[in-house]
Amino acid sequence: MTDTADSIRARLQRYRVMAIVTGTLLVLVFLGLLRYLPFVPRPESLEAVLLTLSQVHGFVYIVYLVACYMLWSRMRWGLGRLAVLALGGIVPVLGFIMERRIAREVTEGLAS
Amino acid sequence: MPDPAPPTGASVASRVGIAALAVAAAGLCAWLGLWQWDRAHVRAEAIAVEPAVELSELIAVSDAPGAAVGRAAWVDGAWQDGRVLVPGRAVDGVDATLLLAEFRTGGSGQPGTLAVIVGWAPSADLPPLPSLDGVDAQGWLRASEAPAPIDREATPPTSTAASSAAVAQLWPAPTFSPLLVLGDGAGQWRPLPQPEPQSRLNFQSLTYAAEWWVFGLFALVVGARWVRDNGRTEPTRGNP
Repeated sequence: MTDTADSIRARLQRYRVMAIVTGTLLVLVFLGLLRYLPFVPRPESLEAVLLTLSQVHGFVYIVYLVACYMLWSRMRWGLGRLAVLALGGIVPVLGFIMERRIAREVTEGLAS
Repeated sequence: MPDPAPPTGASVASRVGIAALAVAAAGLCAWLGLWQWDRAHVRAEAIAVEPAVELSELIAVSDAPGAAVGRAAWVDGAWQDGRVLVPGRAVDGVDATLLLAEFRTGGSGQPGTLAVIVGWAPSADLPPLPSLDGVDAQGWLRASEAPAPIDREATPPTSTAASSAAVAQLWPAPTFSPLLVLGDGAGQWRPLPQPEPQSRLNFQSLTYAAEWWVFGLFALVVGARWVRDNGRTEPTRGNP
């Protein structure tokens, strides 16, 4: 019983950390994409930083997916929810929204 | 209790469908990974060949063997009379003879003797020795071969090795350790082919390939997990 609750709590915690880290990186990467707009100045020095940033996001996203999977499989949610969670690491801001919703839902479930 | 919805016990059709979908997704990811893997090779960049610099910036006459080998270089100075032939080489599948010439370096560094590989010619049809007047000493540096005896009786002398240590027996000391290969050859003596430029795989595409393969694996794991969780119709399984 409490083992289950503890395990869910731990998985939720890992998911929330990864959601925030991934979401933040994603927003930065998207801000970086603004440089492709024609009227935005495009300093060469930023190029390498932004490229590295998007690569870091790629690897962090894999860790995020694993965290999502751990929580998802424990909660026995449907495939659709996993898909939305996975999208949360690719669509800006969606990750933050999902993080809030999931955290509330799971915490309320644990409390009841 | 929080809990986990009980296993639903999906129909066989939907289980097969999900399994097929997972395999298809994994296959697609594997294919995308291969595509990036190929791109990593296509986008492999040649490691930049450094521009030619003056010899004295790369190496001093007293430097140990191995320094600056492969670098492009030029040097001021004067051609001397010494010539050595190195027969018995294979170049472009032809039995070839190399021509070595003696060069006295000037310019900013300490002067010394530099053995220059002027070029090569087919051994079967050796052209006359070229005039080196007005030929610039520029090309790339090559490591000396192990010393071998020189036949001083021949005209010009011959050796089996393109070796700075060997020609040092004939030409005044000090001698540079590497040899300069003339980039353009001279007369009918053709330039030695340059070593292939090295290249490195494109890192970005490599990481994309790895990521696609991880995503493919993920699809398989999720699919397997879903089929397993939804395959048990009896909702008796409690929480562990």
